[in-house]
Amino acid sequence: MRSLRLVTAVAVACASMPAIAQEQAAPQLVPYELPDPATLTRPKLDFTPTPQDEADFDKYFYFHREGSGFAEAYADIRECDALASGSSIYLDGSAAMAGAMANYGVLAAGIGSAVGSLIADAIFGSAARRQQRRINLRNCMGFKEYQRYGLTGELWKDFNFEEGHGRKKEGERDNALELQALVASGPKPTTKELGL
Amino acid sequence: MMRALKLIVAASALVAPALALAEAVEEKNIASGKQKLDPASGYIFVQANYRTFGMFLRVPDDSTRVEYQKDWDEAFAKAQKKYPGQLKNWQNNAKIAEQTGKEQPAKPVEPTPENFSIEPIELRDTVSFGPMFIYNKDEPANRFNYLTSVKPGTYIYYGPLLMQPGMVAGGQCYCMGTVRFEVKPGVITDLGNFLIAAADSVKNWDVASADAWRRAEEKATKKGEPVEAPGAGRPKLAYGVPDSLKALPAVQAEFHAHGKLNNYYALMFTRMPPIPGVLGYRRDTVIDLRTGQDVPNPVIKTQVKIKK
Repeated sequence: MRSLRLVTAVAVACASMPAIAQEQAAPQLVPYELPDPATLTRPKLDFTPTPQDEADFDKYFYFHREGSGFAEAYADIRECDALASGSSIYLDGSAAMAGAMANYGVLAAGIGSAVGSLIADAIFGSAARRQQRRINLRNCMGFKEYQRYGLTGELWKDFNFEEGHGRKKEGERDNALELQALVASGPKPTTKELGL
Repeated sequence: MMRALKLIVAASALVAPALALAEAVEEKNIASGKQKLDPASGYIFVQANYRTFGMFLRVPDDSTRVEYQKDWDEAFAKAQKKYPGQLKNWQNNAKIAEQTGKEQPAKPVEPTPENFSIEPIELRDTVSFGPMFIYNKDEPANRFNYLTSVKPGTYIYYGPLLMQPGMVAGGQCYCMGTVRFEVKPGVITDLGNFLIAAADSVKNWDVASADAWRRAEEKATKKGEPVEAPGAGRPKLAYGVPDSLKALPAVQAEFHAHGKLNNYYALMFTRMPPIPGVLGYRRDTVIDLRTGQDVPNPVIKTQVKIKK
């Protein structure tokens, strides 16, 4: 029981531990070779969405941009993945709120508190880190002018991964990123654009 | 609990070399003589209509590079010295694992100049301000003023990040586009409220703002109230330092566009919205609107340990 309490105490202490610079590993550009898209199999994207699927589109989505070739899409996806890799979390809403205020000017208090609650909704731990990664990817790919489209969780898992506390193995990551680039540079989806 | 505390202390110690030597200057301390304005130091002045905060990265100069190299050499020598012991431990543990049929432990990697690193040089001279330790509050104007003494040099606005000693408690990194400015010695570099007021208000600029707007619109619609236009409540651009700082000359900061930055603290990231005449974008390419030229975009490096 004592050890359980100790583990809990450490977990709580770590959960409230602010982000520190990630310095355990040498800075590196993840080396990669451009894969041949002809060797890749396009994942299945067709489905009939249920209301539950639509409710989960903030989790399960993919990107596409008209005019992006495979090489460009792959470079874009790699860059956004690198920026979004590894995660820490907001500790509470106030930091994000002030950040948003600095970013967008002083808007109605409702906006500040909305941003606050957006973050406060996050549960500390792996789930919050996964959510942060998703938001970072959406920001990054959005700035690169990719559109976002929804998927079911099942289809999404075929060429995507989530990262919370740890990092997936490189081979697994590379395979997914390659397929994401294939989709992002493939035929334009006929389903609804989700926006940012 | 003690162990947890030790963990936190250890984590703080890890980043100790990255601690900023910048210092918040307070009017009451100037008045009492506890702090003095030093002509050899640079000063960053920021104002806002509320308590605010942010973080700057100082662009490494020659002296920073020399210090960094010295620390790197020392740390590398230490790591090399430790390696034979680590290898021996691993050999012993590998033998035990073999005998007990357990999974083989990972072999330690011999430190080389290519795979060894200390904290990023870009984090050597970080400067943060706020929300506490204001210079003063201008009550009639309802204005909070912040003054920070810093090493003169070029500073990049890293974003509205809340910094505690050696740690970042939250906020957003402007990793995909921001501004930089010069800080000269013996001069107060007046940023005014530029970091808040200068950028265009762009609806749905990023996920956080899109979500905030959606919620605000839903709320306004429910109440039957009109929805504020983007930027409706944004303050006007304002500069000016308090009279008590007249001992040193003050100059308005000259802002220039700056390109992408690594997400050193693995935070939420976004980019500064466009600033007329200063900062623009073409997709994710940052454009210096003073020159019309693209800002060189560095290759983003990951700090994350790669899992083979």
